Amino acid sequence: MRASRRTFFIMSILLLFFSAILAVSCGAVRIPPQEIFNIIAGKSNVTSRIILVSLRLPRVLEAGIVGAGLSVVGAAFQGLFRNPMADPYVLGVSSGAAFGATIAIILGLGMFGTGLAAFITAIVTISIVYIIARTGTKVSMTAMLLCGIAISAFLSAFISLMMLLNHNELSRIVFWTMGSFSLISWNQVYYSAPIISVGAILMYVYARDLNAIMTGEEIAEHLGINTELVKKVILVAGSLITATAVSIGGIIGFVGLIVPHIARLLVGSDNRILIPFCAVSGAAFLMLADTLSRIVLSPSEIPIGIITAAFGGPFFLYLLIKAKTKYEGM
Amino acid sequence: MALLEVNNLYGGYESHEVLKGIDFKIDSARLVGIIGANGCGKTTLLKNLSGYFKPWQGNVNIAQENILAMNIRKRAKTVGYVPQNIPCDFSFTCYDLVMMGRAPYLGRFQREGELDRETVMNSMTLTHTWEFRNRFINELSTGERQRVYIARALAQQPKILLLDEPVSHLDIKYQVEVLNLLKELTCQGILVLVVLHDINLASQFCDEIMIMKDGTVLCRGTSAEVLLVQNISHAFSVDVKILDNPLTRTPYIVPVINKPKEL
Repeated sequence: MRASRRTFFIMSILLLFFSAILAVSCGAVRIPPQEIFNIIAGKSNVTSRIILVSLRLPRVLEAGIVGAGLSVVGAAFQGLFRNPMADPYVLGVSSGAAFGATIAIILGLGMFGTGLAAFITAIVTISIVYIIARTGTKVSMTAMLLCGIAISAFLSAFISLMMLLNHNELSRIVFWTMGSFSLISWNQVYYSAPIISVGAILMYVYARDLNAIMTGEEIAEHLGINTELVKKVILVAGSLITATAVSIGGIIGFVGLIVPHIARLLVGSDNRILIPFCAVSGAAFLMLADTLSRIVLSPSEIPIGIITAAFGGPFFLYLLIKAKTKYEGM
Repeated sequence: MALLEVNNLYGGYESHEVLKGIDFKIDSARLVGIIGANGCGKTTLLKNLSGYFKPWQGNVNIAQENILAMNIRKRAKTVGYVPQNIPCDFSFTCYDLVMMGRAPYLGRFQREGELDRETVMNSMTLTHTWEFRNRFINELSTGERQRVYIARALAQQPKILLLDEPVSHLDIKYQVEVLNLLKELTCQGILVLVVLHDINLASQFCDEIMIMKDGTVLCRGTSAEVLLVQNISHAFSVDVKILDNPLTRTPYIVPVINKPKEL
């Protein structure tokens, strides 16, 4: 039991390593692994060095950071809401971000402006959801889910309207909402890496309490766990991670829903193992998906959201069919 | 020294008053069965005893310490609670689930130690669940799950164990098994309060019975003392006859059914 968990964990770290090498070497200009080692050793030509250091590396790292962040949030939210359908976007973060990004794109605010607008509207949206769902000092998880869905629908209506009225920006908005890492530089890595890693570590620190909450909120309180505090920590950390991820890569669907389920099928529900495992495998998954998005229709790129759904979905179904034990989704 | 002392307890939900002045005192470990009609406040009483609900008035003292004066972790080390509906739609192994009972003893960054593993093993052995330690909780039968949750509450090493209708969904074999287990626990010095629907099971197994009616304690005592026709018919509004259980010499209640009129 424990030994097989360790095997999966080591395998996922190896997978992450190979995904990173593969992701860095594939693209419009191929940099074979041998060349990568030459660059690290400092004996290669300038062109491939520049391609690697200022284009490939930040992009691959960012895909990994976002993939890790979204997967960890997905796992934690599924546990917290006791709902296998939950994902990082369930509280309206995605619609909130898309709303801000759409306005920014129409106003022509540029890449940085779009990201910032998306981040701000995502945080505002989730705060509204939280305030509405709160009664006194307690927050009902069901009320939060329902508020998230209602506000998402409301914002989506305005996004559709704005898209309809701004035909010339339509493709940019659609491309943004399906997610992409095509314009990533080191700057985004510098600010997203600290936020997402601190958030993910916080979730890991509260993993044991989250386990108890999964077995019932009331019962967790009888185990001496301050459930309201744990809920707040997970919600705040999860919202910050998701808003950061969305402001950088757009709304990359599926990764935050499917990676936690795949991970749970392999290592079980225990969040102390599941959360780190999700971080590693989510990073590898999104690095590979980003690589595919670059090479499938090379030289043009396709949105990464198409890849995550097209490859993640069948893989998950395959595991679900092969699963030996009854899988309840939690 | 009273193990559990309840003074003039009033409480309920929102604006709906359920408990209307409850007073009782229990000195030592024993098995106490709480019976009463639906909605008379049995579950609300348990939740007030565990400190999950804050009483509107009055107080609950365990070993002479007010339950609300304890912090949440101290409370979890004092009172164990097994709720009526135990969720099981996740795949934790039974061992991991019982280990969660050690939560109040572990610091945020502390890992489980030898003492924790030993306590978990003891609670699982006592509840006859050690053999399923590596199985997932959702693979077990209802009776087995109930015992795993009792094991988890025991891993908290509480002075008092509260159970809300633990046997209602079980067949007679598991009912007897769980109640025998609760009886064994009293020998370990734990005071066990259990809400039961089956008066005859309560009569047969419990050291003491408490009958509740409209948010108050109607009477308390051994089964022979409290299971009287007038108490039962007053608490449940039903006609009963009381027979003698030939095995245990405890009262045995049968409802008197009015024959349907001949057409």
